[in-house]
Amino acid sequence: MNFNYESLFHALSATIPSSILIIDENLLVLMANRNFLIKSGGTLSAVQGLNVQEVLPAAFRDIPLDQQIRDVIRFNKSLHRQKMSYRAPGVSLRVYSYSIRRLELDGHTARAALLVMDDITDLLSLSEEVRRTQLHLASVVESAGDLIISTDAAGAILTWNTAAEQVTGYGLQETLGRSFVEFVAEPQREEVNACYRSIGRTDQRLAAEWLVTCKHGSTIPISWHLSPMAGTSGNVLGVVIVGRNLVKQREMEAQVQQAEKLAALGRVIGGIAHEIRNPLGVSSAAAQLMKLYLANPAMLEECADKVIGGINRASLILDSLLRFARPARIHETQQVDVIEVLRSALMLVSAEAASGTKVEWDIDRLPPGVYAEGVQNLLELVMINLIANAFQAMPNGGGLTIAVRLDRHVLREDILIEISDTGPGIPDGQVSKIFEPFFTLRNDSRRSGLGLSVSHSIIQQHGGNITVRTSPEGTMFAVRLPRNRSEAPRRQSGRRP
Amino acid sequence: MLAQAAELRAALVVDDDAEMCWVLKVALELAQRSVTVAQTGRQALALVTERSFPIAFVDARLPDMNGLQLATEMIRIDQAMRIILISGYYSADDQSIVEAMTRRQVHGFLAKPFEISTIIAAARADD
Repeated sequence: MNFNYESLFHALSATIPSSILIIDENLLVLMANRNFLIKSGGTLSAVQGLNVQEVLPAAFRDIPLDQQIRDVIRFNKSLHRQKMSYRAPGVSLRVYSYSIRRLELDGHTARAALLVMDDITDLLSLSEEVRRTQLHLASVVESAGDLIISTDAAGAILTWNTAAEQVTGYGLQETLGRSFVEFVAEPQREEVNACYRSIGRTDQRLAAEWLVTCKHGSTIPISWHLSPMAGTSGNVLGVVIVGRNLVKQREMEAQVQQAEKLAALGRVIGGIAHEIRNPLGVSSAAAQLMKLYLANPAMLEECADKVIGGINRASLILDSLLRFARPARIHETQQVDVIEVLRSALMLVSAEAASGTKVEWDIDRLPPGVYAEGVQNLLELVMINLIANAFQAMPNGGGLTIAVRLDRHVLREDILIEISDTGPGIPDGQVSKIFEPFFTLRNDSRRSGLGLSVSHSIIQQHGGNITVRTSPEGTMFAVRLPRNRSEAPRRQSGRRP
Repeated sequence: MLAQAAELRAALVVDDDAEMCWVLKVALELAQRSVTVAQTGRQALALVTERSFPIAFVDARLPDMNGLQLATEMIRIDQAMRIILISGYYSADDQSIVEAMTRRQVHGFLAKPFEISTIIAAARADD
């Protein structure tokens, strides 16, 4: 194939967005392409034969272009991608990239230079914008108070921001490439893995609360949101994980809970006096009787049994009081026997029941040993609040029913605790307010109005929920808690010796 | 008149705590009383309707009514009855107890824990 090179030059120079000049050894313009002519507003015949400096805008003249062209022609050293800026009054700054190459003319006798100029202003500003956006995003991620972590679809960590470092003590270098699940406390790892398995299947963000094991060994509760990063074909490229440190929030909640517990304690103390004085009375009387029956071994033995039995009963009541009053760290969870919690709560508030109140248990269909994972005295506080509320809704007596049943789902099993009274119900328009702090239906200075709002937050912390149904025939509070299926109950390590 | 003498020496104990009933029964038997035990207010009222008890020891908190209510109802049935209220909840200087004593709704008050001798003395007071 035989090219007509002149025609090839014209075709090429007309189709590329560059401005092209051919300049001879005397710096006179031999040729200009169409793009150059359009931009400079001239015609080929007008520019041919002019000095290159005459055809370029004055703003370019501060570049040693003459010298550069001469050097290229003389030494055949091409110049590549030099930058020149075009500043003119009233025109925004434009930046050009230019290259100069030597051309052989008429069989090596004459030499010339090819000057190719490209306006790269838009390109530059685009990349500057990209860089700025990247910097901005990076600083947003870095200065965020929340933990922002990204992983690949399998969970290997790609980025780890400053907040994540501050909270966990691990820096990016120590976490890069490791699996996110390694940083979650052991018992919840399976849940994290399940999250990763399911994250591609729905568009939805996943929310969870997982404890993170920090570098110095402690665990911190963090509320997490996981969102998939989808590729163009919808496949999951990675996962963005945003976490909020719950320690401060938990401390505040714990303070409110402790205050509410003390308030509840004040309420139950009167009832406790009765509960303790009964066995004390039995013990004391039986001991006095022993002195009168010193010669009667059978009677002595029976009295001794009564003394011991009474002391044990009083001490059991004190045990539940202490367990209830003792502040518990929020992440010290144990397996809590739900029936035991209900019995203990009922005992603590039984003094608030009006005479003529019947208590019925509906737990016959329950398998033995129904455990929830949680903090015993917080769950007790919830039950105390609910049972005390039920008793107070029935000032002239009535029926309290405590029902516990299991609710099986595909993935989990819930414990459903229903506490119902036969009181007059909650007035219309008040139902929506009952979980608000300081809301109360009673004029009683002993009641803080925090009972239900605190109960609500405690149950939420346990991964459950609390709902209410009311009618003029009575009110039922239903507490739903996830069931812990582990076989052997673990006891809290901090129990009294 | 033997039968009537036996009736005079009867005592009623009303308390839902079985252990408490046991010690009261033993103590009252030391005071030569034949003791009948009721665990609820309703049971006690049924017993008082059937026969006469010169003295009753009544717990202030019963599962179906409070002790003061029961005292009022029992005296309505048998005006001659003397009622001693026993409580682990109230103390002798509580307003409701002072008022109940003044109104002769109850005739004595014992706070738990109590002295056996006080029970015996209360039982013998009308011998």
